[in-house]
Amino acid sequence: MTAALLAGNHRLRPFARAHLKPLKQMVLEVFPDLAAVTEGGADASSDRFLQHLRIDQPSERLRAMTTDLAPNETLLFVGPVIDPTFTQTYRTAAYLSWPRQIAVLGCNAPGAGAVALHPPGPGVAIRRALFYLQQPPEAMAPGARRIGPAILLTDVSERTEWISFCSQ
Amino acid sequence: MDLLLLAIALLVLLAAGFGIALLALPERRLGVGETFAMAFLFGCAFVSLASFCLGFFFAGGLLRGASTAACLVIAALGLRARREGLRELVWPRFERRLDQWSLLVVSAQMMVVTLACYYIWLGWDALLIWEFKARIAFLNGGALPLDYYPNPNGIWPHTSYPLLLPLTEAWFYGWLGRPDQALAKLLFPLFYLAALALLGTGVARFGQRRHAWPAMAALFLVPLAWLGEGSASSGYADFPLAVFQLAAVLYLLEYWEQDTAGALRTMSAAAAALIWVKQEGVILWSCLALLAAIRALQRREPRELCLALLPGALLFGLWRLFLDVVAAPRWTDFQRTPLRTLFASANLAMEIGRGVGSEFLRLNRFGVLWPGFLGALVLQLRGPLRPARAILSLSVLLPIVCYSGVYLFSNWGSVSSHIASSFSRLLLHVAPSALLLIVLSMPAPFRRKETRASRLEQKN
Repeated sequence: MTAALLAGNHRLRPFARAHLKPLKQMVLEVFPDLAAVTEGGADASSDRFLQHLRIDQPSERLRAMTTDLAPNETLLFVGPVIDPTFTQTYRTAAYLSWPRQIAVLGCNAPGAGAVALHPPGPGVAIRRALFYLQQPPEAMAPGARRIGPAILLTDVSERTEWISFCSQ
Repeated sequence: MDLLLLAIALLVLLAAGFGIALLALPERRLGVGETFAMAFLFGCAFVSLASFCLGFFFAGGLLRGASTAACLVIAALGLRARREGLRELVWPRFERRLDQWSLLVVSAQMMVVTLACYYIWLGWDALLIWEFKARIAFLNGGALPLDYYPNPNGIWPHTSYPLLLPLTEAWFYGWLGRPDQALAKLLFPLFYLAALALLGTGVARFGQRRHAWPAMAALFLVPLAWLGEGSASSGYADFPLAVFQLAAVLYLLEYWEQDTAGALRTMSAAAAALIWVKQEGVILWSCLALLAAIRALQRREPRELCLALLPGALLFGLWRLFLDVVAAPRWTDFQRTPLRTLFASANLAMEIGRGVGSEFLRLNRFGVLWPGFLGALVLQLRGPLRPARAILSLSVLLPIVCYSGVYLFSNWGSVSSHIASSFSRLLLHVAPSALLLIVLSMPAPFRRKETRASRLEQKN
């Protein structure tokens, strides 16, 4: 009996592979939101929006980058303005950095300048810089720590012209 | 433990809403579904308003305690004013086979919606606009800090959006003791359940009671109600707004049909809450106010009309004043365009017409809802004029016309992209009301011949 069932199961598998998989793909094509499934958790959704960083607990790691900053200090998020994941990443970082209001600098191709998307607020100093898919300027490179394949973090000790963070 | 704390938070919220429902709802026997739905909607509105107002004076446990006390006081006031309301609740009956099957289908869809809400992650706007505010409010002791609104470097999106949804989520976070992006979404199946209950109530009251359960089952056939950006499972404010709109429309219809003060009062409260859910709520409120005004002026009741419009006007005015005082920037996707430029832009109108038209036919978002709505409209035109159904049609059509018109002021580079990214969410606001019209307009051949017994049953 068991053998018969197993044999049946064995016969069902190719059937499932042949018919159910395309059916699933078809359903996901019509309703792509069905693929947006999480395993739950306090940071389930923000972790999902940061999954391309390929680090463990990305929300917690990004949140920790600003918790020790003084009220008049902030983190500068630097990245390639044309990258499709840039906006999603810095917006999620801004969400996680409350009550700090992070600054955002978008870099163009080398030599093409930078876009000051969200400059630091009045009286707020940049104390840390996070480079997303972007190499830091040579002067800052030695102190930079790699957090994951896509991000580098460096402390900024002196007042720096913030546009200069894009220079190669 | 988490579920117990969430249950306590929900019970306190429902107690407040129940109190308001007893104070506001018309003086007649109330259905259980209707009472639950209105208690939930009013509870969300009350808890969020109480958190906002009391948040100027208290924070943390004190704020939660003060809000809880306010909820219990309003519940006691409601019970005192209408104690018999509890005893006279009308419970649903499942005598016919179709009702029993429909109950099974409705239960199954509630299970699917709850699972979808828990397992599908928050959408982009849901996380960065609505849940973000809830998280900040929780971290600040239950209310948003005043230095959040000015948003000096513009990194936080839409700080001037209304607060019903975020402060209700923050209420649950407060009881839970931590923010949780997954548990916050368990609020949304309750909005879905409220929508089902209101649909059933609407069909039973304005159509045939035996169509109520099938109508509830039919909501699942509108995919955007439970899946996709704007749906109950996405965590956006659009579906809750649609439920509030349906509630306001039901009592508007009752006011048109029966002219009761209670119906106008309830419509007024539910419509005012629209303004507190989402900024588009102002448009929905204006349309409902216009339709209520026509009836009130027909009946020469200007005083009642003014009283009915007061909560919404007051809420809108005070919220705008507050935003001006805290210097919140008004971020908008629309611009002020001179009229002569608008009249010259026939091409733009054509582009909007094409974009809007194609949204109605997106079967993966609305199924056959809009073709069905068109069919229902045609049936309305063929038969004798029924004022309540005409009002129901207008309460769907007027917002659609307004929503389409605002794209003339779009400041997006491509109006088509703007429409594609937002119009289906706007249509969702009136989708449950459109479904109600479809069910009410079902042609006679599909109806059972009414017997004397069924008429008596309906009277009861």
